[in-house]
Amino acid sequence: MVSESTKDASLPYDGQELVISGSTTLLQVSEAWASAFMEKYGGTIIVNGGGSGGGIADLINGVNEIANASRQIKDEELEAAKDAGLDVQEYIVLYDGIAVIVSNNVTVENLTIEQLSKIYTSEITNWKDVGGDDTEIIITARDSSSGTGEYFLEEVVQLGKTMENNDYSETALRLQSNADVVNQIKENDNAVGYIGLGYLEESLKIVKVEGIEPSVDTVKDNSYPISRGLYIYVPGKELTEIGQAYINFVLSDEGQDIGLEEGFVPLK
Amino acid sequence: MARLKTRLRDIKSFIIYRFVFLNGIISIIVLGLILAFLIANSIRFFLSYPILEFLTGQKWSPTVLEKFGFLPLLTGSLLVTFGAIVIAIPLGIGSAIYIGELAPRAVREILKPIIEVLATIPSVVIGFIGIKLLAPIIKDLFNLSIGLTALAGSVMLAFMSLPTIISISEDAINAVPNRYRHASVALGATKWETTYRTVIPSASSGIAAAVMLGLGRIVGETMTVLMITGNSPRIVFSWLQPVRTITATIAAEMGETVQGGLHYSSLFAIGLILFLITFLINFISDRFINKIRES
Repeated sequence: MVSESTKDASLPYDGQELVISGSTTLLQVSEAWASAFMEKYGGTIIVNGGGSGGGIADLINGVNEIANASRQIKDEELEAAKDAGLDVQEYIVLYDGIAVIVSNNVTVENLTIEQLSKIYTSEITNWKDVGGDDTEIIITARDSSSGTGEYFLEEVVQLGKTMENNDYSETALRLQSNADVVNQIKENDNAVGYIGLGYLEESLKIVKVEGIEPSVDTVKDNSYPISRGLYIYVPGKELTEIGQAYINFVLSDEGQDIGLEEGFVPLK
Repeated sequence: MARLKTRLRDIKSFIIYRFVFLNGIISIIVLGLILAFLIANSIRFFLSYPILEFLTGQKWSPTVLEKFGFLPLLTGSLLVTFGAIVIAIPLGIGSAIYIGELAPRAVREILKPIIEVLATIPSVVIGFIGIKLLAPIIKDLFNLSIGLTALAGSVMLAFMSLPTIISISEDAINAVPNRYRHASVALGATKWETTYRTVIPSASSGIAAAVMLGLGRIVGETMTVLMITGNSPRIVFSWLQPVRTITATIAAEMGETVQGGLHYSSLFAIGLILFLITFLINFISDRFINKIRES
């Protein structure tokens, strides 16, 4: 997205440019931040997707100045950045809750993290073993390219990384987006899946996790067990004026409100 | 004056000749560069991961277990491709025979362009049709929980390859000289016998080329299978189960890999294999076609 401020030239960051790329989870909210920022402070902000890995690679290669990521930077990437002479700095910009949803014909109301882990590793394959009807469980998951999928894997399937050899069962369907999961869960029977809080709809059947309903409030007070931080990474020393201003804006009350509007959970 | 004219013509033809030659060479160079690019990016994988484990491994778990077993992806691709070909060949050749031999001229003039327009439907649109229309039908028809299966992929890919197969087969059938037909009829053959014993054998090299081109399209298709085959990386031999193809794996996983890492280069490795498979298909079909041409 490229858009330039058309207001009078007195805005403080006019003539400066900022390139952002990375996580598709953060794409929409970043565009909202960028356009609100340009409106208020001027300058040109270009926001691209490309995935968390792509964004961080761009940062290392000097293509962007801000990398959006829905996962934390990996050691391999940190090393590559160090080799490129960058000292990468991390900011948490928002929280995101991950809701577990099931098809309408599934009668289960509540699942524990352990039950979810067993379902996703195919140790439990029938809904009757978790208090439902005697039908097979269709597992839908996301691919390793999805920050949401990776987070759910570590936090739920691997029980908070205590079972590091747990992977999604090979019978799990791998869907390509939150919207895709919503669609398939709604239209099919016996299926379970997970989506970002922002994608919840009225018609979806939500399962409580450890007895807690997912919502902005339960993510904020940390009682809902499956929530994560969303990150941006910047080159610490070489951060430009407009880059720093953008980060300040994102972390401000106004920026956080925009995050809330986009379906995420603000930091405070 | 006249000499100058011939001179100019010579120069012109020289330039045009060179231009055409350059075009031919460029495509070969590009092909070579693509191959070099694939090899360069996958070399790290082949150096650090045992190749036998890669080719015979039954588990594709690139991020958690760091197991890069190619078999589930290969069987997924084979299953979808085979299903698509089984559906597309009889339908495609049948339609081509109808359009080329049986249909009245007016019908033919309408059908052919319509079928050719089908080829222009973007694969993402075909994927949507698969998700919204076909998957629910398959789910209800076979009483499954979910319709995203290898069968859904096969049907949609067959649909995508049909225009290619029909159009080129029909061209081949059309190119069979009429005197063949007349001779056959004169010898007392019926219309069907003429088609079956004279026209189709004469057009067989063109039909084979059509099928191979269709096959190439099926093997390499990515977006549609990514959307409708469910992408479960396991070895199955049933069309009513979700499968994960080679192409879908690359498309789904490339986005967030650490660039230059093992997972990244493993995706280039399976891309290289895919490239070799399609190259082989084309090579064999070329040989095949030439052989028929010679005989």
